[in-house]
Order: sequence, then structure tokens, then C-alpha cells
Amino acid sequence: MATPAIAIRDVVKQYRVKHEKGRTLKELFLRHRIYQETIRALDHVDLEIPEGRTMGVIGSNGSGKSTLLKLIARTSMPTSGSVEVNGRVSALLELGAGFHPDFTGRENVYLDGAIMGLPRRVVAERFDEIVRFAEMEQFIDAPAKTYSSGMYLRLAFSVAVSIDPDIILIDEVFAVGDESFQRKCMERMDDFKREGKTIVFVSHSLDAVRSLCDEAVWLDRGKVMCTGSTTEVIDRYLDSVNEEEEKRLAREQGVFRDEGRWGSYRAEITSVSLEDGEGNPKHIFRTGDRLRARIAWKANVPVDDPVFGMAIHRGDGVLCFGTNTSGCDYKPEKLEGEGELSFELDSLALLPGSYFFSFSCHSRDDSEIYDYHDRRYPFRVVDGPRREVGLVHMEHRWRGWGPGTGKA
Amino acid sequence: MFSNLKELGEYHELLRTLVSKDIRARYKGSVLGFLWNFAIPLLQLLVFWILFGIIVRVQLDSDYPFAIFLFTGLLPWNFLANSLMVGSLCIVSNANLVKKIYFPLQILPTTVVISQLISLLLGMVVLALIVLVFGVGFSTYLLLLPLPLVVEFVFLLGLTYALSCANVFFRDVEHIIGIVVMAWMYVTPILYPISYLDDKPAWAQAAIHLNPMTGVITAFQDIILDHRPPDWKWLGYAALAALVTYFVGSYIFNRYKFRFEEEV
Repeated sequence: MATPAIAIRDVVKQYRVKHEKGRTLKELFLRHRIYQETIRALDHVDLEIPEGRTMGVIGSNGSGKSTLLKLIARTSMPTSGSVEVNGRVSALLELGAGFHPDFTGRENVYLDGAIMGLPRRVVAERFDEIVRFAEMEQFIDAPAKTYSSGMYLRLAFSVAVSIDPDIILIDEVFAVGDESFQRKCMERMDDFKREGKTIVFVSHSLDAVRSLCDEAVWLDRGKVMCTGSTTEVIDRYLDSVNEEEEKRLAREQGVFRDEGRWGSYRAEITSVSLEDGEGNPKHIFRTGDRLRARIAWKANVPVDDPVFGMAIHRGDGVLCFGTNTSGCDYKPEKLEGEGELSFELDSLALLPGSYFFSFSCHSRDDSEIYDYHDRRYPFRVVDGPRREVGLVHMEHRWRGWGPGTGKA
Repeated sequence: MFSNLKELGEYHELLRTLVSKDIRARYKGSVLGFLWNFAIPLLQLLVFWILFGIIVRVQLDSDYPFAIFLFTGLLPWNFLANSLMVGSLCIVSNANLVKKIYFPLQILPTTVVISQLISLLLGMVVLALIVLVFGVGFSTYLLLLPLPLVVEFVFLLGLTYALSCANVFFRDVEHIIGIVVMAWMYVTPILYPISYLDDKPAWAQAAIHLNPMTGVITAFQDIILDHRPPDWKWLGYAALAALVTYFVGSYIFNRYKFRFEEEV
């Protein structure tokens, strides 16, 4: 096999974490009293990236993704192990790091280019192209401090991609740009890919990783969890994230907080649990899944003619759905002692997102609220089998007429 | 150590760009702009003139005014003071570059010293004018002027390498440096001629001569004002000290530069 573009062998990277950042002489003399902790950002990582491959790096915050890029970019040295890089590296880790706000865009292009290791002659040759890509023709001779953050970013990115590297490292740099800029960046990345360059791409946007990368590696707390085809790695990563979240949501549900709850408490909702179609407790559903919420109640004094209500809010506060028992088949006439009821959905229509259930119990004329649990029960909807966008799934069909469709 | 020089050579373009950025950025946005490079030494001289020529009236047994003597020593001294003060901060203040972009980190302190050297040269232009105006004139010894310049330059490179590195780990450096530079100035013959030491005890003379800057500063004074060659013994000593400082400074810097990224 040909030599890989990047070979990372048994790399450990440790950081010392101190209580306070700056060290002073006093601390030096009292060294034994300082509390120091070492953190293992990378823990025996082995990774080989063949030339011309596009590798996505995914993982939650603090999993060591950025550290990995820094090691490849040579701005950081491994504590042990070796990092071998064959080819010229361009690290798009910090855009516009060399910019000086008092200088004009033109001066900054040269300055930033020099910091990235681009000879002045080359910057001069590519200057027009750089400015055109950044769409900055009009402002190139204005001082950089007058630029909007988007302009700043576009110009910096433009300089960065004008380098002709063999290996490109990208760390979420264009997440800050607007949609059209992001598309342009992705296009540029595709160009690089076609030219056979090796790309290492760190992103929290799994869609971006999916569309750009052939292969992916999943890091978790400094360890390589798995490598392989992008789809496979992303699926395994998502499974683990869902599992973690399931645990977290279950924990949160158990915590009985008083915020988001009010009422006269003549009758109380004592517990709410979410279940799947088989009656197993669950907090993560897919669009189209069966969902059942079991609500347990207790009447502190007998209550006549009660109404139970429910609502679903999306995480950003949008009310998605709400209803109550007043117009339906289940009409409790009187609450006495303890009991249960359930709210059931045969097919969950919500599209992926995070949501909250609210439940309430009040008098028929709404004059008295016995117990109101406002958005206390979180759940999440993840990718279902269909590719749909928006808030809810709508039952639908497509039909066509005209020549060539089999119908006239 | 020489491989570092080689790498610096490969990145000479970046070095040049950063130096020119440093110099142009310094007075950017001010009305006088680049002229400040001349205006500041001129104003400094004016202050000395008023203080020592009119108010306190100090006169040396030479034909030039004390203010010019003071100015001649102070220009190369300011080169040292500014290099050390700005230089000790240069790694810490460029944290984003150090963390994110790979380039030989020595470029940062080197940039500071070179750009201060250029300031010194611009100040020298002012000095040349003053020397002309006051009829001190020039001599062929002026050809020797690059010698103390080079010695001081190498000395300061070594010092800023060491200090910029030390300041990454101990931020105390940037605070203590001002007071050290001030104390150092008093044991350097800038405010008084070296001949002032003649009737002083031997230990005091030794102490002042042990200071490498003594040989450098007196060389400037000898060449520019007194039209005579520098005291070779002490300039040689300064050159030796400068080389040692350079190598020690480079060694320290290279030894610890890999940890900068974690500490800044």
C-alpha cells in the first residue's frame, strides 16, 4: 500500500489543567500546594488516512477532535506516539488569525497569506481570484475594521483556500457564515476532493459530514470508537447519542421540580410516563411510532366532573398540538382516591426535534385548575424512515398526469 | 540551533511581512503617521535640552551639549528597553496564532527586535541631523557603527527569546521587566560618561563593565560623538556575551516552544 497522507500511531496527548491559568512565581515556590490535574485529550489513538481520502471526524464536545487536528497541523506535539504527515498541510482552523483591523483588505490578504506560508508572489498572482471568491471587490481597499463579520470571514476563507495544499484540515470554520457562503465553501471542498486532496473534516453537522466524507472516525473521550464508511460510523454514533439521551431524559423525568407546576392540588397528577407501543418506558421516538403517556392521578378531596388536558410544545416554544377530554369518549364523572388514564397516539406525526408534554387537570368550566404540569415531560423525535421537513408528517400522496406518466 | 536559522530563512517572507506590519501598524490612524518615528526622538531630545541645558545646566568637558550625549546613549538603550518590554509579551499576545497556525515561533520575538532595530535606525537619522547642526561633525570611524549595532541586535535576540518564553510560564516577567530595565540603565553609562568612573572604587568600575551594555553604549558614544574607535576590549566582551546570550536564549526557546500552545 502507498504511504498514507497521515499516519497517527499510538498517540497520547495530555493537558495539564490548573486551577488558575497564569502561573506566578509564588506558585512556583509553593508548587507542592498547587492542585494539578492531567486530562487525556487523546488516548492511544491510531489512525491512518490514505492519500486522496476525505475523512470526517465526529464526536461530542471534548472528545478530542480539535486536538487531533492540532497535532496534524503541527501546532501541538503529542505527549507520546508519533504523527506522520506526508504533504503540505493547510489548516483552516482559525480564519483571519493574522488579520489586522487597521489594515485594508488588500494588505490583510498579503499578511494572512504570509502567515499561512504563501509566498507574496503567489498571493499577487491569485489576488484577483481571492477577492472575487470572497465577493469583496468593492471593499478590498477599506480597512478591515469596517468589515462586517461575514465579510471578514469570507475574505479569510478565500485566502485560506487559495493555498494549494495536499492536505486540508477543516474545523467547523464555516459554521459561522450564512447559507450561501456555506454552500460555496462546500462546493470548494468538493473541488478539492475531485483534485484528489486529502481532507480531514471536523464538524458537528452530521449532514455536512455525510455529504462530504467517504470515511469517518468517531472519537469519544479521546478514544477511537470506530472508523469506517461515513454512514456506518454516523449511525453508530447516533445510536450511542440516543442511548445517552434516553438515560438523561429518564433521569430528568424522575426529578420532581416545582417550577412549571401550579394548581389548587385538590386533585393531583402524581406521575406521567411515556411508553412505546409495547409498554416499555421510552423518551426517544421516531416519526410514525406508537406513543402512549400514562398519567396517574390522586384526588385529595373528591372532585366532580373533571377534565384532563394535554399539550405538546416544541423545544423552541411552538405549540404543536393540544386537546382535552371534554369532547371525547373518555369522560370521568368524578375523581376519588387514585387512578390512571392514558393518552395514546397510534402514529406520532411529529418530525424530528425535541418536544415537551404538558398535562393538566381542571374543572369543566375551566374556573379551577387542580394541577397543571407545564412542559415538564421532555421527549425527542429522531429521524424516521421518511425524509421530510417541517413540524409534522401529513398523510399524503403524489399523483401525476400528462404524457409519459401512464395517464392522459 | 542552525536548523532554526534555516527555518527562519524559509519563512523570511513571513518575517518581512510581519516586521512591515509592525512598523506600519504602530502609528496607523494617527495624523503624523510614519513621521512619529522621527517626532518622538526629536521631542525626547527637546525635553533633555530644556532640562539639562537650561534648568539644571549640566556641562561635560567636551564641546557638545549634555543633551546630545544623553540622546546618543539613550537611542540604543531604548532599542533594548522596547525590545524587552514588547518582546516579553509577544508569544502571549499572539495566542491565536500560536495555537492555530504552524510557523516557526521564533519569528514572533525576532519580528519585535527587528522592528525595534528599524526604529533605532530612524532615530539615528534624527541624531545625524542634530550632530550636523551642532557642529560635532562626522568622522571615518562612523564606518564602525554597524559593530555595536550588530552586537546589541544579537544580544537582544537572545534576551527576547528567553524572556518571551519565560513569560508564557510566569506572567511575572512582563511586570518585573520595566523595573529591571530602569535599574539596568543606571549601571550603564548613559546619564554619565564612562570617564566619571575613573576616580571611583575598582569594584564599582568592575560592576559597570561586567554589564555587556556598557561596551555597546560607550561604542556608540565614542564613534558618533568623540570620533574615536570603540574600546575594543569591552566591545569584544559585549560581543561574546551577546553570542552566549543568543545561544542560551535559543536553547531555552526551542526547549519549551512545544508547550506554548498549551499554556497561552
